[in-house]
Amino acid sequence: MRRIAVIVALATAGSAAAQMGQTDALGGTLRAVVQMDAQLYVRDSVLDPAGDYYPDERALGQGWALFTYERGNLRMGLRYENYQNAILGFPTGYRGEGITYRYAQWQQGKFDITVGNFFEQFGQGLVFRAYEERGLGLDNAMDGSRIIARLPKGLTLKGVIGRQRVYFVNSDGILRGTDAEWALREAVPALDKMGLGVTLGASFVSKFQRGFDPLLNLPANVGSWAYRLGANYRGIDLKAEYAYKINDPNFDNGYIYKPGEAFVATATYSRKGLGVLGTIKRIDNFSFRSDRNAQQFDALVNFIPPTGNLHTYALPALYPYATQINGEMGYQFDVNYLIPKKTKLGGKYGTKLALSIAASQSIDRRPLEDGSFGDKGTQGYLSDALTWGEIPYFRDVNFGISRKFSSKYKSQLTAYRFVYNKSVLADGVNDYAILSAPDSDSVLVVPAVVWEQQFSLPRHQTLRTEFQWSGGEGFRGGLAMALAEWTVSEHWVLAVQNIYNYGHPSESRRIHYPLVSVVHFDGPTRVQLGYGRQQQGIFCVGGVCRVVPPSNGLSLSLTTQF
Amino acid sequence: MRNLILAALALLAVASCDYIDEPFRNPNGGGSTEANGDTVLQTERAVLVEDFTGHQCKNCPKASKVLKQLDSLYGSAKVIGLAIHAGPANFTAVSADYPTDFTTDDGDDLASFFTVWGMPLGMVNRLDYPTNAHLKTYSSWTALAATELSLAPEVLFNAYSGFDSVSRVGTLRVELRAQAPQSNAVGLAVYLKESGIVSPQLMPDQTRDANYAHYNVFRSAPWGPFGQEVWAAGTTTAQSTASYDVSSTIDASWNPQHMHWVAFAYDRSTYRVLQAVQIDVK
Repeated sequence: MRRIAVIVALATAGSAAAQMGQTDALGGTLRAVVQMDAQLYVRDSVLDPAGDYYPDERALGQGWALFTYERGNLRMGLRYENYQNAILGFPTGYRGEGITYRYAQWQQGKFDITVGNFFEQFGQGLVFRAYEERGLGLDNAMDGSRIIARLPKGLTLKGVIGRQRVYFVNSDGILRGTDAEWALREAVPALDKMGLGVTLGASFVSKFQRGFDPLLNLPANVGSWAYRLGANYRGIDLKAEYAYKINDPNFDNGYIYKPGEAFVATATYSRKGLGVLGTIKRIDNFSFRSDRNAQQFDALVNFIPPTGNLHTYALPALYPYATQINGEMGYQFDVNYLIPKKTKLGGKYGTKLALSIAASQSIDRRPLEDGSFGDKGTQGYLSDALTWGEIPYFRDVNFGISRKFSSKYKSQLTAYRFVYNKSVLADGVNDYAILSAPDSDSVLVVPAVVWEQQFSLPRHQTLRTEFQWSGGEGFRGGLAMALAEWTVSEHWVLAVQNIYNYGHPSESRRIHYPLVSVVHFDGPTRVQLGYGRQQQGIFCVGGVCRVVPPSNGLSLSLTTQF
Repeated sequence: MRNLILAALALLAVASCDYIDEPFRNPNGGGSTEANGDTVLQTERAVLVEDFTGHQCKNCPKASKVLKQLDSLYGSAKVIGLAIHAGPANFTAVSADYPTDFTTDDGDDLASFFTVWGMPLGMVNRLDYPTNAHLKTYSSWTALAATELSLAPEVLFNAYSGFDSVSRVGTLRVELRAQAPQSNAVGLAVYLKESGIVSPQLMPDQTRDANYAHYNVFRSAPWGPFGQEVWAAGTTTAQSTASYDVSSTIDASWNPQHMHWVAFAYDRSTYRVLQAVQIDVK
């Protein structure tokens, strides 16, 4: 409490002494970032016949402001948040208001010390990643202490201890972690001379949470560790990480005692006009949370990088992939190529081609020798690391071509083919249920096409249009969408769009989702006003997803900084 | 220096891992709530565990087993199980091999409302509705029930039951005593359930057990699946009380000696169950 009071007092003193975003007489600078979102809901008997999703409050609003003060080697900050109440689709745990993030950080020589809240990641995050994704409502910031030592010869050591944020409180479990990373190039001059960069790293993270299950002996201390290798040479970059976790019975894995394993490797190659990426991944029972009973994205300790592209066009984005932390195998292969400009195929400005192939599948799962399969208090299942499982989760093959035809017109056409396991990705059915009733899962094949055009108009105005279509039998059925976005000036953008779910299996759901919006820019301030229908769906960032309920109404969003 | 760091890391790794060789411990439990047949006077929290099940669902006996384990751990005064035969029709349908129709309109309404897409799935105090995480797999019920039972009671019940053998009418009087204020409206629902019904069940090894005993079978909801409002939003204080009388004719094919009333108070906005009570019909 005293720590909070000191930070608030210092921040207040800073604001009194200095204008925001400017240096004060003592050499300190105070900055602020503010965001507010509000929605006024309209009862829509077509979209939501029973009113299941219509909020009692009718209008919901939330916002936050982050203040950061820097002076010399010292940096401090705090964030105030309020949810009155959280807008629909946001985790309902966000309710109320308060200072949710406050910290002080001091950098001196080799050492960087933080007390209070902080975000941190070890390697690719397989055993530890404290981060936030505000659009999702995910925030698992640590509340504790962190020390980073940047030693000679390329060695960096990190140590963290604390508890994670879960809405307005902290998780039950205490996290302790260390990480060591060694950039060999700085220690071995010969490597530097060759242009070869090699990085080695190792992490260890342990959580402590008292267990009081009446049936099970629960491990109070659960340790996890990872080793990683990075190398780069003349445009080739390689990253690989392997992680292991001891017995960690938890809600996600059905309280089984099997150790977890994870492996991710990515290789990229790039040169002028060409980029290639290849990723392989295997995850086996690797849900790691500081609270063993937590669900959704509460108290996540680690992060499993997704294999697959994050689609931003509206219709392809209706079929996102959610990382299966209990087990998955997958790969991704991307090629981007620029056909040179001033050639017959490339045209005056060049033509970009992009191909992406991604797939995720279940891991091999077989019953234990005693015939049990996934039962609580057992090792759960047998699995061969090199054998693919039987259940397809997701496939995404897409090919895009974009070309600037003239100084006033450019166009991009992208075609997609998704294989989407609705039972796993939308309904949350686990492997055991599907394996016990083979072919009971609903696997959809969804083709989609997006055509985007951009026209430059007189007086620095721009018109951008999108035509989108997606097909598929069952689930959502066929959808078509048109969008026009007119940039009137550097201060104003108008947009109108409509999605028509013409092919929905249920006739009553074959409806339109119109949406109009106005965006105003004024320096660092952005204000957006929108009105229309929001389709029910799943919103994902980095393979982490939340469900978005259907809604209709007016939305207002404001972002600014000082 | 480097050796020192490595030694410290190794020490931390060894000290911070609990390897479990024997996952199961000896059960213990119990409670101080008195349940003597026709009167129940509660003094502590109880939890409602609802199991959506079907006689043609091969994994459902595993979930029923968890309900039995909870019953043996805590007793029916603290953990109240309810097996609702509703959900995907291929698991609940009647056939020559599975002739008993356990389904009910009220049960179907509950399965529809809570979007039961598969089974066995259940709800522990209807937690997390409607985040799509409210349907819990049976492996999590014990821990969730233990967590719920560790919380302070928000509502306590007194319940009294009676049964007229001639008219086959069962009567229930429930008295609610709020222990903490509630911001949302509070509702009361009342169900009837029956245990010890011998009827075929598909088992996990794909065999048909013709003499399977079904427990906690949801039979009816005299006030409908969601009952009625007890206290309006914002009016519940720690001193609020209410009492209600319910009666229902017991179907001729049901055995009143194996039947129980189940009543529960719940948050009318989130559907979270605040407290539940079980009492014998006869």
